[in-house]
Amino acid sequence: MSLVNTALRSRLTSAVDNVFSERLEVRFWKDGREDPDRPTLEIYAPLRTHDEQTSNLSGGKGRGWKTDIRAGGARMRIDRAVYPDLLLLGGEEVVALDREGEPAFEVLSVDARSHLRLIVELGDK
Amino acid sequence: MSLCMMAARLMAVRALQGRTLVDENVLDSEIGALSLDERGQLAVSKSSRFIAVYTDEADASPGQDGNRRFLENGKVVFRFEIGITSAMVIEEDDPDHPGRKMQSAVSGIPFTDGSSEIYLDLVDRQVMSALMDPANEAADIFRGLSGSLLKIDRQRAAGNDSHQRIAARQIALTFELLSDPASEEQIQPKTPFGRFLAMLEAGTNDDQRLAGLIRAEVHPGTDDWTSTQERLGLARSELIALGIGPNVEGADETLADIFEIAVERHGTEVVD
Repeated sequence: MSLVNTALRSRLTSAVDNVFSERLEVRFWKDGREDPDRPTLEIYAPLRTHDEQTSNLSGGKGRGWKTDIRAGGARMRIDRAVYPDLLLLGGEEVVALDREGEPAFEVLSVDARSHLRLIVELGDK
Repeated sequence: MSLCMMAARLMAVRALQGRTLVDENVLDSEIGALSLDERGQLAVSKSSRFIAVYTDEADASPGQDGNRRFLENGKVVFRFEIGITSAMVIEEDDPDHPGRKMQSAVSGIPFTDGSSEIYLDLVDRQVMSALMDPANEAADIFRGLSGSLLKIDRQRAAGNDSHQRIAARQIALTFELLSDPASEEQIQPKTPFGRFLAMLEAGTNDDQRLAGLIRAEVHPGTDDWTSTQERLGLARSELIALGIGPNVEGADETLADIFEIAVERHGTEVVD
């Protein structure tokens, strides 16, 4: 097993977040209802929005569909050392408070395999 | 341009307006992506839900009886597309848990994947109810312009791989559509097309200009042979052969252009 300088690693993560993170509000919904066990939380994490793409209503797979929509989605990378107890299951709402108009996103999937970061795939909301 | 297809589509759009969960957001032949603002609201109105209406492929078989009915519309597919994304849910007070919020696609029903489908089912039914509505003039004109409803085809699509969670349904209704009016004499006030024009002429300035454009395409009818020739798309010689051709000098000469009729595999017969 290799020796890892965990202190250096977390310093690196927090240095990145110092520059790239932004203020985000996480609102927890459970089956469409406000989750009483997980109150709204403000966190700081880097949020990277993807370029918007046009697809039709079927997600771009059905050729007979006429209506097009645009969405971009985003990826959020949360420092697990800072938020060790943050539980994201999908369906939660993430609001980018620092951005004009406070765009909202929805948690589509969470990759929790990394021990450094929660990698959260977000859809437009 | 097919006048009847246009009329039916406009009437379908108006029949749906204000009659469903999407309220007034019935989009006519929308081209390009629906644009959402940063809060996910559709740019067309405060409410982001919509129904998009399209007339799509049309297939007419005017027949092989020697006539050329250019104005036949045949089977026309009307597509109604409905979709619900996470951006379209509303946030409201949870009726069962005072002080808490809930999200819903249909007011009072918490938003889940299942209730997205409920939304689609409800709007689907509302589209049908609006088109069936006996009291709605636009719906009645729509029904009058169409003959049999030949086919109802529904397709579902759902997923979140296009960077948002979305559930959608397309309803494709295949109607036998009436032929376009050939001349103004066919647009009597009580006919569906006459009522369509009357509705436009009583409408906005845009509507009135459109009615003017349509009337300009259907010239005043005449009682003579030209109306018949036009309606059936006949060649002059065919018309004369039917005995309803122009009663003018030289008509015989036109006829005399045909010297013999060759019927494949049946030999040749000389025309007297």
